[in-house]
Amino acid sequence: MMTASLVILLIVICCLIVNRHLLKRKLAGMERDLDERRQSCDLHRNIQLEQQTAREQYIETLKQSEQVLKENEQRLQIIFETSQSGIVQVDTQGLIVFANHRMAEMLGSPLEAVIGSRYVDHVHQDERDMAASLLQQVITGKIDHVYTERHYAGTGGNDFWGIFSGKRLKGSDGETVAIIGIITDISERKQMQEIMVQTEKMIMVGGLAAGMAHELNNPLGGILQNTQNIHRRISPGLKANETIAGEVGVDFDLVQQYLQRRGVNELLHHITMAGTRAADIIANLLAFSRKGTASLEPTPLPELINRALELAACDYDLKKKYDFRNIRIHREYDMVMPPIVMNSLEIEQVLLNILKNAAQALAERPSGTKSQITIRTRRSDQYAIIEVEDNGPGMSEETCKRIFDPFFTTKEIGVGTGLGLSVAYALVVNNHRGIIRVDSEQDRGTRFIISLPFSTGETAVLPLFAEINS
Amino acid sequence: MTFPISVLLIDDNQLVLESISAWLEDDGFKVYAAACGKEAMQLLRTVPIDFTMVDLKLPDMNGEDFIIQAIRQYPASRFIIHTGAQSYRLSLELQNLGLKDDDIVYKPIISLPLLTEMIRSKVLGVPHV
Repeated sequence: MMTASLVILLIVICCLIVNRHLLKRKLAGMERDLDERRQSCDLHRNIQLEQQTAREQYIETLKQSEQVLKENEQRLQIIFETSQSGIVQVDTQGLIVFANHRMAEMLGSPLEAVIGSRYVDHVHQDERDMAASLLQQVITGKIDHVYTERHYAGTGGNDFWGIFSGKRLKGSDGETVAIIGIITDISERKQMQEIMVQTEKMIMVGGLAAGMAHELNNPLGGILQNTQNIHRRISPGLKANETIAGEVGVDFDLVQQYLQRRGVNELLHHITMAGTRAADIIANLLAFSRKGTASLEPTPLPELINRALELAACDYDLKKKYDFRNIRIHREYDMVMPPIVMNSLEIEQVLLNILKNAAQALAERPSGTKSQITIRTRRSDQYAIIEVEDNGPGMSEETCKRIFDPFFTTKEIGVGTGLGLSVAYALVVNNHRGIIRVDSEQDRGTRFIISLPFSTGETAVLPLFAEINS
Repeated sequence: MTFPISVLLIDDNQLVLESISAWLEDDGFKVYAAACGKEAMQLLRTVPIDFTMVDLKLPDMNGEDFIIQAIRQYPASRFIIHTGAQSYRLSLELQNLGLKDDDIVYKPIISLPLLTEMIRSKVLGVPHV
């Protein structure tokens, strides 16, 4: 019994031991499990933390980009609005969808009118087709960017020359969305170029003229002087004529009758006319090479202009076709302007040539309104400005461009030599360091603007040109 | 006037010389012609000349220099300049010698009667200086 109970006890003890061991193992397992869980929990927290930081960083970056974007936009906005060049965005239909104020100002229209208008409509009609085809090529992607000189037609005839620089704006798929163009007004530069070309031309003609005129005057003298001799020797009044006629046995009266009926005197007269005209042309040509230092004296402009007007009124040529006295002369003189140092004979000639030109132009205008010439003097910085304005038929742009060219004339053959205004140009520009230019609009009139420097010393060329658009 | 006014024309262009000579001869002047300065000096030495018209561009000398030389030797004669250069202005030296702006005749001569008138008034009028 004892033994049995001992065995049982032993068994129980064994069981207990085993059980404890098992429990221990289970506990260890549980602890391990707990550990694992704890670890996993830490990891999760870390991830959450990381995510939090990332989110914050992301927001920060976003904020920064937004700031950069804003600054960029502002920068572009400032450039857009303060640019001295016009900026336009033209859509694929050729319509202006976006433009800055400068663009509107250059085109002479309000911005609202510019937006929605066709780009090519603002191009001068001479270049419109060209501009349209170029635009099309950019839209279709044939060319990527454009850089070209362009003639624009501002509202109210205010044409200007611009440099158009444009590039394609591409969408995400690479297709053209629009064209962004920048237009810079280069009218002044263009005008300066023209003036320089003109000056070159004048210098060339001047050089040619000086050499040529001297050589031509001798043969012309032979023609004109001998014509006078012949005329006198076939006319009554010279004793030698009748004496010689008697000696050779002809009746001088009959010779007279013969010459009269055959129109010989008339023919001689034609030679004289032609020769005199040639002499005039040469005399005018020589004005190019004339050095303008002869006699410079301070001259009050009103006096000078009035003298030129008087000359114009009694100029024979002028009176032959047009009566200067039928033109209303409107004087707008700046009476406080100091006298200008000049060769007054030359400037008088300049004014006379311009007045003649104006009178001839006025003769071509349809009757109805009164012919008028306005002469205005005003000051502009270092220059005295004389403006001679008529309400004649005006000139085409092509004529304006060539108006100062030697031998260029639109008058019928025999009326003008094509030198009057070239001489005016040479006298003002070469001899007085001044500027002469012309503004004209067809059917509205023409205005010549003469700028003479107050000081006759070395005047720089550039300030002169800067004056042009004042 | 018992003697005709004598005129010396100096120009190397034959056509100019002949055409003016013919006119002046018809007007009763005694006309001499020279094609260069040397020839003209020779004539001035040998014949009495009342009036000399000098081209500026002579083959052997400048017309101004010719006048400066000749006017000192022949102060009784009148000298005028005949030139094709419309821009020509009298040099100071010629002005000091008594020449005036109206002592210049420009080529071509459009009115020969005026030349005749000018020679007469200059020769019969006040002499130089």
